[in-house]
Amino acid sequence: MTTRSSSLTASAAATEALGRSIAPLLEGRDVLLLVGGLGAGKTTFVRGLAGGLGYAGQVTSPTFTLCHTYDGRLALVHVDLWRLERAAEVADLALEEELEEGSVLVVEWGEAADDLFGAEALVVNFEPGRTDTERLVGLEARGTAWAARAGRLRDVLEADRHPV
Amino acid sequence: MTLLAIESSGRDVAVAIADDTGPLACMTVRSGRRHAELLHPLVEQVHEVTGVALASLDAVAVDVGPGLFTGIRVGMAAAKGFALALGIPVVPLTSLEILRSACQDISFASVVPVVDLRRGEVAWQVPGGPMEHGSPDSLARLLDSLEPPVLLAGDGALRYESILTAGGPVAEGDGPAPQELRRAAGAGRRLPGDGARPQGARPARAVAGAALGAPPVASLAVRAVAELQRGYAIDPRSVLPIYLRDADARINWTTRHDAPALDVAGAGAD
Repeated sequence: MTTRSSSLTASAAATEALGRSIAPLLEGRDVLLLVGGLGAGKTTFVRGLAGGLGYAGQVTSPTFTLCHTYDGRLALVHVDLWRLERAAEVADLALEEELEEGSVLVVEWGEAADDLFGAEALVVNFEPGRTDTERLVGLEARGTAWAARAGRLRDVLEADRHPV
Repeated sequence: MTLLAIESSGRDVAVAIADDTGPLACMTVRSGRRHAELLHPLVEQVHEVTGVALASLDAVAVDVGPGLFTGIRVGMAAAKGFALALGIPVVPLTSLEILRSACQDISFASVVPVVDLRRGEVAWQVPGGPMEHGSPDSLARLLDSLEPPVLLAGDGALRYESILTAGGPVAEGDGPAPQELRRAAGAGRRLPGDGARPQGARPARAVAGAALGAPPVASLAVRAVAELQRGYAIDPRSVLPIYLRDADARINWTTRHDAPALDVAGAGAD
């Protein structure tokens, strides 16, 4: 079961706000796969998610560190697969083990983890908009865990659709 | 011979010091995700309470998996670090071997250690067989070919108990009921009518209780001392973890363009 929706964000602040408004929907063991090029707004979106979960510290890209954990209402495990070349390197991150602990897993360059988690995930796609700062953010809710929240997700996007 | 044993392949982080007479001290903590922060304080404490100095160790024993990747790495790194620094060898044992050792005094015809690999898979080892991994269903089918009664031990056995004990596990006739098997396994007692298996009964299977939800460090330590006496100890640099992950392949990047030189200063990409 898959539902799709999208949101146009006019600025980095709006992309972060979108993450912040999706955060209340998150549950332990959720997987979010973030897809989009360099500078597409993925880390900005994660900053919003973490803030929305009540995490007050810094959120930076784990491009070189591979994995950051932010403790809020739920632990958010922020992963970046950009540097990886092989499936075994993804396996070595033991992301299933993080999920078992009840964390939310948010994966940048998430297409590389599609085999592992793609069946049951919120896939967030970032595309450039008409201006330098505008982004088209597409949300694809896959699997039963997200199907139950499709309505709330749509409500969030509706409420978010305002000029910035 | 005295050794330090490190067990962190599963639910617990645990250390022990043992010599030819058995374990001198064992410390086990259910650690969640805190393997790394708990291990070294425990090593310090186990040395303190036993009065055994690090310098007097003859080897370091470690569980090399299969199990939790993060836990295995913590244990391996510590074991290798101590062994290299002290100039002593490592005695590596698998989590499956340790679980089997823990069951050696229990009279079941077949003992099968089963470790949870997450992602819906388990690793196991039938008596005299190689280490294998696959779905709980595939293991359940395999169990039919084993001599009953069968004892299953480990976190994989506990997690998939209903699958692994379904499909023909009920003993008929004079055979012990599964509850009796389980009690016997939990208490380490011998079964009533030890050795006498019911004639014509279907395979009886039992799952060892939560005490074997992780490989016990005492079993690792005792088994490792025996291995060390037999001369099984290797250079710490040659010790490898057992991950049992799926076949490796290149990530099929269709979106990641070969990017500009990495900004190692830390600003990062995206």
